[in-house]
This record gives sequence, structure tokens and C-alpha cells, in this order.
Amino acid sequence: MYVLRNRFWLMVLVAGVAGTVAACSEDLNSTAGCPSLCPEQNIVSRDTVLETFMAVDTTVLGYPVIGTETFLLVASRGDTLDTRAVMRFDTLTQRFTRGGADSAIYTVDSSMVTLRLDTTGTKATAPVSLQVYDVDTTAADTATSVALSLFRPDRLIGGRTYAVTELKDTLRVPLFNDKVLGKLTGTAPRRLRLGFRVQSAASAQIRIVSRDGGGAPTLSYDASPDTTVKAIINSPSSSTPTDNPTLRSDLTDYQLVAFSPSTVAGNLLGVGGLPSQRTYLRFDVPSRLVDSSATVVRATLLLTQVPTNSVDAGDSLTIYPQVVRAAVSLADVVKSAGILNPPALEIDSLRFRPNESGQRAIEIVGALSEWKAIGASSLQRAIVLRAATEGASAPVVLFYSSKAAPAQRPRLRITYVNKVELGIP
Amino acid sequence: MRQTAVTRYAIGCALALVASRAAAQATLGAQGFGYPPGQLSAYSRSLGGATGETDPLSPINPAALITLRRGGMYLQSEQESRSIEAEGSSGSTRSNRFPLFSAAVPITERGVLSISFSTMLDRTWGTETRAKQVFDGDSVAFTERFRSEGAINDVRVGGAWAFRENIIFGLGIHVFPGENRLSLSREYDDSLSFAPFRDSINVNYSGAGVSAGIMWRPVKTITLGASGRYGGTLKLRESDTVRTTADAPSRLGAGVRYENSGIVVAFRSDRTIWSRMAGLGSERATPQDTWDFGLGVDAVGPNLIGAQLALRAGARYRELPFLAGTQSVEEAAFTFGTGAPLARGRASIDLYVERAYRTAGSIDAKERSWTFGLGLIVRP
Repeated sequence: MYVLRNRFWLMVLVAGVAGTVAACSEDLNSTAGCPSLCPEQNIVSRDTVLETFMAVDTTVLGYPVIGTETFLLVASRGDTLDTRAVMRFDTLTQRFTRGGADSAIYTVDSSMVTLRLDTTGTKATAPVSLQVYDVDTTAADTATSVALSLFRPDRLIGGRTYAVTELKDTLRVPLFNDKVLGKLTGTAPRRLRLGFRVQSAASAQIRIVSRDGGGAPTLSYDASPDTTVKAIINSPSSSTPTDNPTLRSDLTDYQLVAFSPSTVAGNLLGVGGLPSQRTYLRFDVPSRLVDSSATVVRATLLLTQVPTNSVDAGDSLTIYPQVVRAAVSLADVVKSAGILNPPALEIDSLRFRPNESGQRAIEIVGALSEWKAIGASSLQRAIVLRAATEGASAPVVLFYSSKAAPAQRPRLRITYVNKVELGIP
Repeated sequence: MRQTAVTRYAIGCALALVASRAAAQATLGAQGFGYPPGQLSAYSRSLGGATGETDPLSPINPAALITLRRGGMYLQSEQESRSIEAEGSSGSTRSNRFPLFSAAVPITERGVLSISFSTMLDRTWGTETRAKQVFDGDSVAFTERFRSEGAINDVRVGGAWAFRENIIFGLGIHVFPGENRLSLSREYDDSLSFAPFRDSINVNYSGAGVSAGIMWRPVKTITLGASGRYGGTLKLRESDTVRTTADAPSRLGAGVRYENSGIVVAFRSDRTIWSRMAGLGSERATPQDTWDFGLGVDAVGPNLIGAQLALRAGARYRELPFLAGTQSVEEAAFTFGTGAPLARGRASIDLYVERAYRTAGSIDAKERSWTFGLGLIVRP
């Protein structure tokens, strides 16, 4: 009986303890009862507009660095824009195997370049002739004048005219087999450096996805009429310059701007265009806002847009405002403008039409939050505005800089909350 | 670098008006510095607090400690499920607390010395509100969460001495340590354009007081108890800086207990001078002096599988110390409980369930709560 009694109470005790533990999951939040039970204590947010917060605002050229373009714009826009692209195939497969026997290539058929297009960048209303030139030279072919001089009839190595409907996401451009064979069997260096150009009765452009953009262009040819021998596929590669591996890799494919309208910003702030521009904005926000107990809940950069008549001025241009990660000690603005956080990390992208004007708002509170977290002594408090299709689209968006009339200068509207009295009921 | 300055400090704090409630409790019971659980043991709680003046486990009357002549350790836990209906909406919360711990040792055959830790004001609650804020013409929705945890506690070192078998005096020295941890956050739905606002703070309390009590048994069946506590200075500190100062609440109480043939009937009334805390908080935390009345019955219950159960019931009416707006908050509670010895009398367990109703004058709000309590005492 004694054992039974203790078991009973042991069960009661265990149940009580188990109930206590189970009840330990608290849920304190309630939404009912306010405002009658909740004395108003507004979180007072204050607005302030800064007009002379800009330490540096300038337009920066030189981006993307040659060879780092994610897209290659090949355009013929009448007298407004002419751009080309170059692709290097410096390592070509020169032998093939048939029936287990290895042999040097002695004939070539079905040679072609396969490209992937960004169809959002295609503009054509009439058939487009895509011409491919042999732009290999011992001279410095990254110099625009040198490279452009090689786009001449005697160097034509392939091409085809495409109907507008044929300009889909994959484009196969036939090459002249005899010229390709000549490259494979001729004197060293046995390589192909191809220049791309479009021509059309009307304004036209295509946008090739570069190797940096994941486009993976290829050069292929059949080395034997025997159908059991598979086509040889070559990926782009670059063998020069020999003393700079990074640049050598970058130059696997790159863009050339033969002609573009003058859209250099001058005293304005420019974003986009060809050659591409970035706007670098370095802030000097009062520390009482950024480095204090105040919390900035919204920060809006207000820029006044200047209308332009650039190419495709009616098209929207996506702009990435990106936070600069360059050190405070780096005084070179151009270099600073290239050291950035990834896009859309702190600040959302925006779309502007170049031919429009008026005040534009960019929400940059994410940047201010990051600056507060990092502190003022290590990284620059700056952002860069750059085009999403930087280097591969013609539209340019212009804004007034801090040198403009007061009403047109950039402004920064900040909404912040001072520390709230929480502890004393 | 050009000089930077705020040239236009503008728009004169155009602040956007927000339906925010940063000091929100969203409960009737936990206004101001919080809800007073009552500093009652599970046994007294199950009798509506009626035995508070004669119960050694409730740190109210130090003279009552004399009945713990064997000494012992006591621990109590409570789980409260609270629901509120106000202005057409309803909500519920669930919280748990350990409102009482005490230990006692005998001092010769006439005295007992004890230390107890009890919750005087439990400021634990949370709110979650959805609202919109207008920024320069843009309206953005946000979720605001405001949470408070912690309490002002009462640590008492008390002793009781039996001058005669039926007259006992007791003295207690109190300190009132405490901490409230408060956090407020507002997160906007559009997190790319708006950064969240987060703030938190800890406040600490310190104070002291003394108490005295007497317990007299004029006849074998009746025990009378009366006690009082005087509160000294109570300080509120924020980051080690004294922000406000007031006095700890004082109290006076008396109770009677009738015991015959295994049945206990008890009554108690208590007056707490919470208004001494005025000034510790803002003008929104208005304390009022309160009455507390309790009536309870404890009877020998059935013998279940050899265990002698006790059956208890109680009713309690009291005012709560802090006004809701300008209205006094009143609480009526009904309690049922049980208890039984364990381990051949070396331990005992008390359980209770309490249903409480809280209202506040003309405020359109009703609060209900279920509280489950468990107390366990272990004796040497």
C-alpha cells in the first residue's frame, strides 16, 4: 500500500513538474487593449534635409575595365553609335582522332562561332548582317584605332545576314572554312581573334553575353567529313599579354566603341552611355545622425535629372546604386568607384528614362545603416550609381551635381528617431 | 572637401505621425511598474490569500515563520494564461513566473530564521501592433513589438520568536532589488527603403524596508495575525545612473484564522500604500493605495489511494496598484486548490487554479486569467 501511495504521488509530482516545464513556453505578445491600455508614447520621427552633405560628387570613366564587360554591344545606329566586339580564340585544337588514329587537321568544314545573345538588348527592324573579321595583329589590338583598322574587307572571315526573327538567344555565325583552315595550318601563332560588327539598312544592335557574363561563346569546326568524327569545339582564350595573367584572361573578349555621341557629363553627373560613366558620391553626413544613438529609418537621396537626347533616350535604364567598399585612405576616386558591394545588397535598383527630367529619389537607408555599423574610420561613406548594363547600352542618365544652382543640387532627406525613453513607465 | 552643414533643419520635424504605443502594456493587470502577484504561497493563494497573515511560507507576516519550526525550503511556480477583450478586439498571453522561494532554519526551540525571495511587481508583458506611418506622402506599414521582462522583487530576512506559546513576534528586513529589460522594435514592410528601429534598455531598482508582525492565539481554534511593512527609499537606475527616486510601498494587514475539526476558515484584509511609489515613474504610471480582501476555506479531503488530500477554496477582491489611464483596476478572483504530504511528511505539495477577472471603471476592457500554481516544500 505504501508503495502504491508513493507511486501515485510520484506521478502527481512528475505531472506537475511536466506541466510546469510545458508551460514555460511564453507568449507575451498581445495586440488587444491598445490604445486605451497603452498610453501613447509616440516614436517621434524627425525629418531633416541636408543640402551640403556632399564631400565629392563626380562622374567617373573607365568602367567596366576593358575585358570585364558582362555584355558586348555590337551596334550600328546610323550616325549616333557604332560599337564592335572582339573575341580571342588563342588556343585552337589542331589535331583530331579518327578510328583511334591521331591526325593533324587538313580540312575544315562547318566552322562557326556560337554566341549567346541578351535578347533584351536586341534592336532591329530590318535584316541584320553580322560580319566577322580576323582582327589578329602583332600590334596592340586593344587600342581602339588599331582594332578598328582591322575591320576591313580583306579580313572578313565570316558572317551572315539574319532576319529579325532569327535574332534569338543563340546565334550561330558561319565562318569561311578555308580561312579557318589557313589559321590552323599556317604559321604560328595558330589562333583566331575575331571582330564582330553589324550592318543593317536600319538602325540595329545585338548584345552578346560575354564570357564574364556567363555566355560561353564557342568556335567549332568539323575536322573530317566522316560523320563519326565529332565537331571540334574551342572555348575562347587569350595568350597575351604574357606578363599580366588577370588582364590576359580579361582580354578573352572585350568591347570596342568606334563612335558614340558625346554624352560626357561635364559638370553634370552621368550614369551609363558609351563609353560608360559612373557617378561617385561621397557623403559627409553629420555624425549626430549617423554615429549617435539616433536611428535613421529613412534616407532619401534626391537628385534632379537632366533630360538628354542620347541614343535610346526613351528606353528605361536600370541603375544600381552600390555602396563603396574602398578604404578611407584611398584618395583615388576612380579606383574607389570600382571597389563596390554587390548590387541590390543595401540599396534597391531604379529605372530612369534618359529623356525625362525632374527630381528623382533614391532610398539609401541601407547604406547609412552599414556606415553606422562599420564606423567612420575604415571605409569611405560613398555610393556609386552605375548602369546595370554598364558598357553595353547607349542610354545615359544625367543629374545635376553640387555645382549646379541651389535648387538643382543633390539633397539628402533623412528621417530619424532619437533614443526612446523605454525604461520608465 | 567642401564644408558640410545642415543648412536646412527642416521641415521642422515633420514627423510623421504614427500610431505607435511605445509604453504599451495591453493588459489591465500590468500597468505602471507591473502586476503584483501578491507574495502569497500556493497554500494561501488557494484560500484567496486569506491565510497570508498566518502562513509561514507567505513573506508577509514575519511572526508566522514560527510555524516552520522544522525549517525547510520552498519553491513556487505559476503559469498564467491571460486574455483581454478591449474595444472590439481580443488577445491572449501566456507567461510563467517563479514568484516565491524561501528557506527557514530553527533557532533554538522558540525561534525561526528565514530568507525569502518574492516578486512584488511583475513587469512582464509584450505588445505587437500593426500600423502605418506616413513619410512625406508615402504610407508604409510596420510591425511594432514592445516587450518588457523582469520585476521588482522583495528579499526578506525575517525571524520569529515565541515569547509565549500563543504570542509570537516577528521582524523582517527587506531589500527591493529588481530589473526590467525592455526592448522596442519597429520593422517596416518595405525593408529596402526603411531601416528597422530597435532600442532596448535595462533599468534596475534598489530599495529597503523593514517589517514587523505579531501572531496571537487567544484560544486553541483561533489565530490572529497582524503585520506591517515600512518601505524606505526606492531608486530606479538606468545604466548605473539614478533616474528617479521614490519610496517603496508600505503596507498594513490583519487576518484571522479559525481551525476546528480539520476545517480552516480564514479572512484577511490588507492595505498597501503604493502611492509612496509616486515619482518613480512618469505621470502615466499613477499608483494608488489599495485594499486586498481574502476569504478562504481549507478542509480535509478524501483519502485517495492512501494519500490524505486537502481541498481548498477561496475568493479574493483587490485593487491593483497602478491606474489604467485614470481608472482604478479591480480584480476579483476565485481559487480552488489541493495539497498533500509527500515522503512521509518530509515534503508537501500544494496546487491551485485561480480564475481572475479584472476591470477598470469606464474603460472598455475586460481581462480574464487562469493561473495554475504549484508549491513544493521540503523539510529536513
